[in-house]
Amino acid sequence: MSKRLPEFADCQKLERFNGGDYCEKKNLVCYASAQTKGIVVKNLETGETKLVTAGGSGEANPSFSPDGSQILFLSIVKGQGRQIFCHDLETGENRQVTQIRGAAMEPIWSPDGTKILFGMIAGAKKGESGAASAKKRPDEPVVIEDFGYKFDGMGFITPDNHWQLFVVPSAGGEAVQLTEGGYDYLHANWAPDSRTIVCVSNRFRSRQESIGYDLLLINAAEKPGETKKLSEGSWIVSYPNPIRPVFTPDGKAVIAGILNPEMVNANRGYPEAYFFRFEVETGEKTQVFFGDETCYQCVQFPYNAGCGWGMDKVQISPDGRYVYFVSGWKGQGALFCLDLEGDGHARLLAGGKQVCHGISKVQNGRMMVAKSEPDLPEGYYILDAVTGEVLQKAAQSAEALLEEVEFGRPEDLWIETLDGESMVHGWAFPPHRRENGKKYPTILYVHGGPHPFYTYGLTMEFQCLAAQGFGILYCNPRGSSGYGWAHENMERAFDGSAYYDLLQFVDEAVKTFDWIDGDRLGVTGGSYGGYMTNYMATHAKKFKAYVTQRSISNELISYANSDMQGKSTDYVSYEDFMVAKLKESAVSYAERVDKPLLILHGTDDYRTPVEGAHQFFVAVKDLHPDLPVKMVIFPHTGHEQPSHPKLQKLYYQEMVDWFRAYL
Amino acid sequence: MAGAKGQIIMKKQFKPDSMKHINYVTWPVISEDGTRIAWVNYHGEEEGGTFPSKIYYIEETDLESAEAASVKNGLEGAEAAEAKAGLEGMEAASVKNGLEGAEAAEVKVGLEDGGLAEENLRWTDGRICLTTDGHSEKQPVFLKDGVHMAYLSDETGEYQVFLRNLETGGTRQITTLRHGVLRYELNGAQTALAFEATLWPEELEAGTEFVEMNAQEKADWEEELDWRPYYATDLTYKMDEWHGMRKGEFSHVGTVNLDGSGAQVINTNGMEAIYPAYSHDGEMVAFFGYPYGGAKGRRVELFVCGADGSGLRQVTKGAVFTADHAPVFAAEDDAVITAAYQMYEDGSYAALPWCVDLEDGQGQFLIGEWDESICSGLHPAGAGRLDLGDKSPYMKLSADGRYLYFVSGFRGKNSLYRVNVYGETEKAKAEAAGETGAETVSEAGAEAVSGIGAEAVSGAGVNAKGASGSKAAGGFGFRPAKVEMVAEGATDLHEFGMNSSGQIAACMSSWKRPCEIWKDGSLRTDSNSWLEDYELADVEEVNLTSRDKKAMLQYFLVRPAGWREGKVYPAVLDIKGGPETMYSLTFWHEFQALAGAGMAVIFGQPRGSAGFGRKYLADEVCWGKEAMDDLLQFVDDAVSRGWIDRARVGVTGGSYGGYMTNKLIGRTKAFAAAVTQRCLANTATSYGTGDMGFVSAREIPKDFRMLDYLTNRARGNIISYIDHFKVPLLILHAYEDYRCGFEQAEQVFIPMKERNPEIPVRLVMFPGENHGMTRTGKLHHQIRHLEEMVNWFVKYLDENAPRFGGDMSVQTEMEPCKGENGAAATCTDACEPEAQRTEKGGETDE
Repeated sequence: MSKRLPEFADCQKLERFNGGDYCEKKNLVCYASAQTKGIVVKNLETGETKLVTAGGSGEANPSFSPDGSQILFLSIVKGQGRQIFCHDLETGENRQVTQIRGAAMEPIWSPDGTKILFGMIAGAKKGESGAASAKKRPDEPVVIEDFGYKFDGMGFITPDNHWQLFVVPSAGGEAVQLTEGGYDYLHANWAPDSRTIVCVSNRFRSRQESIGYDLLLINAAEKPGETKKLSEGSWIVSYPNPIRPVFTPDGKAVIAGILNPEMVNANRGYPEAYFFRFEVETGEKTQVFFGDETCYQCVQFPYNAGCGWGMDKVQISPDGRYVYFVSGWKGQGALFCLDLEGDGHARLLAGGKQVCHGISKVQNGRMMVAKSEPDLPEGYYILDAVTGEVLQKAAQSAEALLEEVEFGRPEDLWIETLDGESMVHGWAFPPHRRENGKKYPTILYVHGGPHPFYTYGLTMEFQCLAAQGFGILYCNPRGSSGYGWAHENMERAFDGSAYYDLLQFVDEAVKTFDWIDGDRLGVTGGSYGGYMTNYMATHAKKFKAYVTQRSISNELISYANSDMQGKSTDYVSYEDFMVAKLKESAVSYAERVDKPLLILHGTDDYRTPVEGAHQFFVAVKDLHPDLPVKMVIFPHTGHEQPSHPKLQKLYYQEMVDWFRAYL
Repeated sequence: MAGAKGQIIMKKQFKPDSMKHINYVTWPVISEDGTRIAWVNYHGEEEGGTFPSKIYYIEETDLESAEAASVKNGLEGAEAAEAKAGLEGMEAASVKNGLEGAEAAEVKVGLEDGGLAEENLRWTDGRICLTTDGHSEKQPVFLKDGVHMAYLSDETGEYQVFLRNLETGGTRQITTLRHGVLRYELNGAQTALAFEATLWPEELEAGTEFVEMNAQEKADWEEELDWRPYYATDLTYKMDEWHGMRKGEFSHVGTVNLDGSGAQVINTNGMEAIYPAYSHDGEMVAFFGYPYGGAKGRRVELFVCGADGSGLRQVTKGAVFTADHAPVFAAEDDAVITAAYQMYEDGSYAALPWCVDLEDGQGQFLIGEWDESICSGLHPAGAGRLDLGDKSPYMKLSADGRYLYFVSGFRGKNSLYRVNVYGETEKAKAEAAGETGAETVSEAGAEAVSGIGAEAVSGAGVNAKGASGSKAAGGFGFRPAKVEMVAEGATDLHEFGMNSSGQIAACMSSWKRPCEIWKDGSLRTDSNSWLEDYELADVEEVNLTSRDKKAMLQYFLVRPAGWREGKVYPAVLDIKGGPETMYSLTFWHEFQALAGAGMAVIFGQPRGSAGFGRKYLADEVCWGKEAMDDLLQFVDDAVSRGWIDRARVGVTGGSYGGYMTNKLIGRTKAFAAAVTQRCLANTATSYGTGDMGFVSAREIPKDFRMLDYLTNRARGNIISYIDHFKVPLLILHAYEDYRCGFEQAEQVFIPMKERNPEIPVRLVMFPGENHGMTRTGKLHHQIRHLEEMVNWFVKYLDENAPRFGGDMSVQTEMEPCKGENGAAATCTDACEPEAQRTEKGGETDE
């Protein structure tokens, strides 16, 4: 049976696992997705599956109890929000563990199985579940007195909406709030004694240090909430590549990621991160991982991973010797193993043309990982923890779609940059079922960030554009991570290097691939990619049409209106600051736009505020009344492409129609 | 005040949440026989924060008995005093001050409010509420048959036109517009009406424009609409009055017979159409349409067509209408009177009645270019007063077609005026024939107390056409007649209703009393008697010569409630928005709340204000040094009275007032605390984010560079003075403000926090509200907004509060950080005409 080409409507059909777990002892895996309508428990030996549901909706984040007898999971109960449930694998019974007002997140078993730690957006004071408070009007004014008052995806941050930690007996009972105050307590994990937890928090940071986080130890037993600051002066990894710190099995130390301190204050974007060992008793820290050319850092920032939601990125072996983690490496989402008794350099465990972005606990030399390939959606695989060999595929998402739809694969292309200082890695994705000798309109698609990198993971948007008869060029220019710090350096993303990298990549691609029509090239991209699209629209001459998504057009808007507010204090005169920023802003060159421009933006974008789209649209339209310029603003959409079925198709349709009309 | 048993009655302190008691009285109409007056009353509803509207009416029989009662009780005096004070005040203030004031330092006008005694209110028992609970009704019109009233009711979901039989109480629905009716006007015979309604083009295609939705259908449709994206392909895609962007809908006009038959939407080929008017003979509909794209997208032109939509044609080309008023058909239906801006070379302008010949599109201004003796054109937008709900038309033609009656303001007072639409020629002829309108007025004036509602124009016997033999404002050599005062506000006239015999019912307010219904020089309603329990602050008017000797300025000084001789008080300078607006002496809860909290309030009319003649707003004085100096002069003059502590003066204002607040704290050291509301701050980011101003509004130079344009907006911008913002600053801003976008608040907050970390700064964001929030927003938001402001001043103007800016008594004008840009901050060209729209609100379809 011949398969059909992918359609944008398939984006809704693409199954996405909401977390999963592996129990080596019983040879079981569990996972959930919107399509499964419950938790699937699968016996890896027999292949038998069983569906567990609490009768609610949105079952997610399943995990096996330490003894393998139970599964905890989240389920949305009508009128109660998201609660924690436990399913007893022997009796087949469910029990509701929490009765909270709000939405439980990231539940974790204590090692002894008696307690469950979870996070919830809650009030600044213990016992005040502010976010769900019924007393307040929904349109209550928001008081802002410090930086960090809004965050994309969350809206305006008030004392009533912070990530607080709770602990609840796994048998059920009263949930105890461990943390409080207008701060966040993130990425929490249990100590082996089941009495203490470690978490990453901005409790002791000023609001202005938006990426400033410390490690805290919090008592979750006899003195619930008693807090001790474990790290001093370190910048613990959190946004945008959060990793959950792990205790060594002896409970004596915590392994966590720290941002390169030399880079933290250099305003060069998100610094590289390395593992450190923190002694629980003394707080003393020792670097245990050093980046090198085979593994740059201990976190991964994929732009299009397509896998690993709800799964951890770092694990430690039960004997405490090995740390497993994922890290970006030349477009791969690679799985690495660090020997804590070794020389501090990590060993590649699983790489290749794929992206691995989630790891289960390591048990008896095995683990489950989430990965995706260019033409294969997310799957869960059981790996040998020593060899990295795939022992068994545990689950494949979107199986029905895979049977129905034909996915294409891109071709790799490496080019040397014009300045000779680096190599740019990218891909050319040909139109589906292209005819030999025929030339096709081709779109340069610039990723956001600029620090994320394009991976080998399946990208539905490219698949669908290719099915519409477009070629797609995408690459990792200067500013992208996964190619070493010299390449990643933020400054190079904005000083013209990345711009020329992209143009050079297009030129080389046109030379290399005869199916690209060099006279019918378009550009698109979101966020930083939108910034670059705007920059190209006002500077480049190669392209015939532009679609700029959630873009940045005025650096002054980024400075004051983004949730990542900027810095003006490098300038003695604020006026000079403004003038300098305007010079760097695409909107200041609006008179140079000479090709059709489509602007796509979300109303609720707090990262690259929608005001930037308004200003760019008005400026270009004001000066070019006859040029096709259009802006479409999507409701209920933040700094992302809309995923709601009512909007997603419209969104892509606008983009395709624009490129079709003007290429 | 002595109570019944002689004990002292302690009055309550007026607090921000006292405003929840306010009854907003609007839209007065008077029946043909003059025996009934109807109006609309809005009152805040605490639960949801909305302001449902109800139609009330009173009958003359009640009025008479009440009057009799009041006379009997000897209470007439107070009333008379009030009305008289109004008339005399006008002479004193506007004539004498205006002309001779340059030398006279100041003239005080007694502004004591008459006050009402309960005995005088017996007639209110006769007040009838026509609207049942749970519904909102508005826009009442008495039909000439003396039996029916037309009005809008949301009985079936959206506002539809209904007819009510006032005798039987029976009602009948006339329109069934899918999204309701925004406004409507009857034809001369009152057999049909023209309406304006919001519709989506796809509804016209589907033929569902006259199909109402039931609750479920509406909920489904709203859900679907909620998920629809916004599309923008033209420059004028957003407006603050629309709460930002639209989703395809726009205003259409149509007609329907009063029996409900013949409903149709006039086909304008996709052009937005607003403010329809029906001709007297019922043959024609005139309206304003938006024929242009680009920077002219908000310019309207006059269109006319047959009542069935046939023969649609554009009458004018290149006119500058105010577009906030339906065209008024002249008596012969051969011309319409509109409101248009007269632009002058010196940059000043005035909104004047403009009579357009429907045949050739030629127009004549009905008020002479320099006729500023008693008013300057049509209604200046009011500031610092209650402003909620639909407003009735501010100009109306007398039944005989000779006089245009209109509301206007002059030197801080809004009154009712009229002008002969046939101009001086006709008037002269009429005078020769012994039918002078002027005499009618002076007679009315002679009756003194009557003020309002003397039958200014006799309905019978005057045939305008016969007198002039020409069209309204017709022909070459037309010379406008002089504007005449009909009734002076006591102290402020907001709206008026007039019947065919020229009887008038008006909404007037005074310093201590919100709008009430007045007729024949006396107060007819007492909707806000709750205020008697509150201690309200006193005010005085001050007129003084500007420091540059070029203008006669006016400001008002409010004494803190319970003011005592010898005590020293903090004060707040409250700067109005606009800037082409006018403060008047009318009840405003914000002033009362500040005064109630123990602060003096200084509010005035700096250069750039409307209602003071053309020169007052020429040459962009509002953005220059003049306005700033004037504001500082008000403060100095108030302080010179000896009871205000110079070191404890705060400053606040909204919109343009917010801009000036920023400017005053950035450029002077005169203030100890500031509250900037819905402000304009950084014009390098306001371009394109707010709804004001386009480069292409003028011809774009060939070498135009956006970088230069934005850099110019950044340089000298008040935000470049941010390092001088050394006073505790509260920023109040609505999230859906599309005039001065919320981003403007952040453009102040972030650098303030970053560069002046030692200074208290607080930003309060109000979700779901637009630029008009303090006037028309949710009740709980309005209260909170005011509480935030009052609390901020109470805290930072306290005697013991820390002083961040050093010695406030030393006034030095400051330079920006880098000396080279010390020139006065100028907001670029595009800001002003739109900024003026700011305070007018409801330009197209509210």
